[in-house]
Amino acid sequence: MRPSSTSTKPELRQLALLSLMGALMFALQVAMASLPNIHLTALLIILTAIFFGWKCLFSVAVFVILEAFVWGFGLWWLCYWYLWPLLAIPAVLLRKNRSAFLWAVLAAVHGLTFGALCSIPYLFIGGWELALSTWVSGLSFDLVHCAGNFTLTLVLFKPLYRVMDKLMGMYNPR
Amino acid sequence: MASKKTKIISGVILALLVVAAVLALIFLRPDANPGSKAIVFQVTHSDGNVVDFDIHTDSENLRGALEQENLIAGDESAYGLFVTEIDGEAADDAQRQWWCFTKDGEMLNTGVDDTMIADREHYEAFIDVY
Repeated sequence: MRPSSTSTKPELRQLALLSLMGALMFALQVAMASLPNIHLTALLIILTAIFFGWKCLFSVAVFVILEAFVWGFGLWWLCYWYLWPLLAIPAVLLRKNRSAFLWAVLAAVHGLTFGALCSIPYLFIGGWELALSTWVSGLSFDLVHCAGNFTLTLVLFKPLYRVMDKLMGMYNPR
Repeated sequence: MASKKTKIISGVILALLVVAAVLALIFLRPDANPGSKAIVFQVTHSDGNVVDFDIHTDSENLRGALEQENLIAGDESAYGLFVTEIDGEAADDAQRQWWCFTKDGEMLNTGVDDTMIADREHYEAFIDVY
């Protein structure tokens, strides 16, 4: 595998690949939209973090921007600007790890805390009562999110890692 | 590669978070809407035992509210349900018994199907003889 760079300034070729990763996150999220909170976004962010390091935040930005064009601009969209980076940051910090189980745990924790993190703006809008009720009303979806992220990451991390490793060798030779 | 200890610790942390989320879901989730109308239905059984039922319902009529609580049974007729049994006690036609419905002590002129209910109303039923 090619170690991820610590530089945050991508080259043009990398920028194209990072944009494609963001587009792939978005396309798969839309394709799986009929399944509530079950998607591959977390796994793709983890893989992008492993192969591109901090530059994965470019892909996350592409994903978040594209989301708004389909689902509209709401408060949830503003939350996405910190929610997904909150997964990308630990993923970059842990990118030397190759254990599917540990990545599955990270993805699951992110899915489980998604609603709680998303309800933070409501603290400032309507106080802790609104934030708590917002979080609790979506908690069952967070549990589904958690289970989906854990299972998909556990099952698909290694095969997708191998595919990406091979493709990175083809398209991003060093 | 992550050590076995790291995997165990991370697995335990995830399990604890899931348990905490499930507990929060169970204890913090508000009850479903109990119904927009609250009525009291008082049943006086033939042995003199009086039972009050506090009913929360969205039903428009008395029949819907009582059936929601599985309180009544009877025969369908051209005028709606003819109630023959309330709270497990059947009126004995051989003894010329019937269930009489009242609202605030006033006998109802309509059957349970045609009696429209409103919030905070009080209905009563008792065994009468014709």
